[in-house]
Amino acid sequence: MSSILITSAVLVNIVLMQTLGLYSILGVSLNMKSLSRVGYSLLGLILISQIIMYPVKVFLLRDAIYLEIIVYVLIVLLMYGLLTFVLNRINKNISQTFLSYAPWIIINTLIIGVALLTTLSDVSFLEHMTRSVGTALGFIGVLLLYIAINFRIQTYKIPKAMQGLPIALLIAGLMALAVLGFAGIV
Amino acid sequence: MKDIHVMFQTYFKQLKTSFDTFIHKDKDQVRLMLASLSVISFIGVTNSFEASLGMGIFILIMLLTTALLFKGLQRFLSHTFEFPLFIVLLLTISAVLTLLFNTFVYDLKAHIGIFMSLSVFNIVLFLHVFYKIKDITLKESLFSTLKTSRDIIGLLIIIGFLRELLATGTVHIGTLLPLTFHMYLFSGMSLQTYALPVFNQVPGAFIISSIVISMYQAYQSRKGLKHE
Repeated sequence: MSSILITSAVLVNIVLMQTLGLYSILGVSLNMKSLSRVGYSLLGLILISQIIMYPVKVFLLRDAIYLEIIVYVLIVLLMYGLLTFVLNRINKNISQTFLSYAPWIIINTLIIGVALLTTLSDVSFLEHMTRSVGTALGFIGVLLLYIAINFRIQTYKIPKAMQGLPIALLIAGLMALAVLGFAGIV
Repeated sequence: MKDIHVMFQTYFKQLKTSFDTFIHKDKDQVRLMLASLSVISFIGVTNSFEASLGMGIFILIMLLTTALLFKGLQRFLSHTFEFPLFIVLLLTISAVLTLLFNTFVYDLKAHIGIFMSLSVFNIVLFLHVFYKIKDITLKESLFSTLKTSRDIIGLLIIIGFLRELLATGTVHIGTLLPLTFHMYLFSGMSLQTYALPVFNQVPGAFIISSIVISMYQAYQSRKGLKHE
């Protein structure tokens, strides 16, 4: 199980190796405080959604793969609604903060990406969940690294043409090269 | 029952508000910068010229169909449920198109893989269809959609061409798209000898995209200086 966790978090990192969830990282600037909130919400939503998605995939969508994207997105939307509803009963402020990060969580191709990628191979429930957790941890790790590098880079004078998206892509490229170096550790 | 209806209504309203806030800042971006933002979701498939072209064609069809259908259905949609219905419409079109591509262009579908389904989450589709064409006429929305698609296809093709050329030294078509011929668009000049396979991998995609977008930004700033 640890090898699956390391593989999904580092070796086949969803952002750097599979280029999913890129917009959430490169397109929008986050600070450390909002990062922890996004990270926790994402981790929670991934776990809850994947628990529902696995039986749906195995028992309902086996012969109707073309419906999977519709079903998965509806599950994510419903789970997000349910989580907001539960949080609303506990604490209204947390619920409002959770809702303000909705686009981050929903437009993020991470949750659906994990579900779609695991559809391609027959895996057990435990393996599916380990992979999902590993993917979420990998995403949060890249997000953390990117914010740290970006924070440092802002103190330097960057050529005008490279400001914004180009420098963000270059950072991602160098990070991806570094991750390639880990190939073969598991 | 009424409570559940009210609960869903509030949920979708809050969801739309947070999307409005999130997307608002991107509305002011210049057209090509928006296309760049859109392209970063697809850079995983730009390892060959033909795959980039195929993905571009898929985006063009998807944008056109969604824009036209949404424009047609807009008057019948209730304001509260407009947003969830738009998401369902996007998902349905994506599923139908994926099935069609699976039947008629199987090689391309196999190459692009899950990126076809995931195109639903593209920020430009949300921005363009849901926010931009909402308040303009059908004809204007058609032209606007074609312009957006042209920018995205252009960027995808440039990135795909450069990546394939640098990684293999050649650029060829006729392997993924259902063409009756197989030909080299570019070959020779001893480029094969100095090919850099890293450009076929993900880091290469990031680096090439970065260079292409920075060149565009440099061109834009120079253009701006000339106007001044």
